[in-house]
Amino acid sequence: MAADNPIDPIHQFEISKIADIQLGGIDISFTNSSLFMVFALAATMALFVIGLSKKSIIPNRMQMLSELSYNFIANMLRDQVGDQGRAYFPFIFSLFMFIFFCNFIGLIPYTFTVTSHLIVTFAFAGLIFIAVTIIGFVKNGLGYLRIFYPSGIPIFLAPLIVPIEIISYLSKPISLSVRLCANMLAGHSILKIFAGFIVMLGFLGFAPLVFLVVLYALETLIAALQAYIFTILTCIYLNDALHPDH
Amino acid sequence: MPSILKMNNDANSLENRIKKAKEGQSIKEAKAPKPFGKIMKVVVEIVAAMAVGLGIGLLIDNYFNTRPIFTLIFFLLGSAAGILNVFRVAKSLQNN
Repeated sequence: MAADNPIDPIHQFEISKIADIQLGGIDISFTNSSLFMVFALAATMALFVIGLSKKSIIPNRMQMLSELSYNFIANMLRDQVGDQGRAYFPFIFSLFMFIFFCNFIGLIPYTFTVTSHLIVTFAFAGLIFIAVTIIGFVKNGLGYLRIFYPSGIPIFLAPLIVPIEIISYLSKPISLSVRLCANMLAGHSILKIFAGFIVMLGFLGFAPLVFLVVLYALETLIAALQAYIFTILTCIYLNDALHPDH
Repeated sequence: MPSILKMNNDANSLENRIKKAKEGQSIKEAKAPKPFGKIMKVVVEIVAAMAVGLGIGLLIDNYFNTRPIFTLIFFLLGSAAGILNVFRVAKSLQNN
């Protein structure tokens, strides 16, 4: 398909193998997706290694950025989870920086957006869901099951409420992963489609070009916003696991 | 003398204008992104709960060969869970 049509908005999401690796019959090849995950990791590392190499009292730009991002996540965690959440800061912070850089690297032309694949975001969300459930049971014992039966509900409604609460609980990783993936997928497809209009319309292409600039600004906002939403929802789920009574 | 007074006056009014501009900016910055993110939340929340309900129903039906009884029941329960999710988001919006 891609060969007949030079303007193919879906082509950017295709996975291609860079190095073919088979391990015990399982395909663990190094793909372009893996490559851009490494890039996101390298960008995060670079920000902190370069930013914090000269620890001056009056910070330069890189140091400002790294300190700002640290404070941003630390405050978010304190607001949502409280002091108990401090133990989970490294995980939440790594999560935010990784998704943030994946989203932003994807905005550069000719790159690959890792977070536009549902399996990537679902791996994150599923891991968070399992971890939060385990944390809930470890911290509260079997009392954690109370989240499925809110207090103040008459006993005859329990057969109806409990399945609804369980479904609501199980839907958390799906809504978390689909939200991030759908936003990235839809945004990048729309950008490509409008870029295609510019080529197709020839001289009249300046109209979609103007629109594309606006759309690109919106995508930049969404890239940051979705990383923020993913992280803040993780904090909220963590808070539910640590304080199930609220 | 009058020119200095005038300059002072200008500096004062400039300070006030900067203050006002900053206030307006901070309000915009604080308010604008929040409802945007929350609305995005609502849309996915309801669909995800429905999908989970449908999935559980289909699994049970395939296991016991009772299609479509449990699919229907769990789809309805899933829709209820979706509305519950949306209700919770709306409640948190109201609290803010």
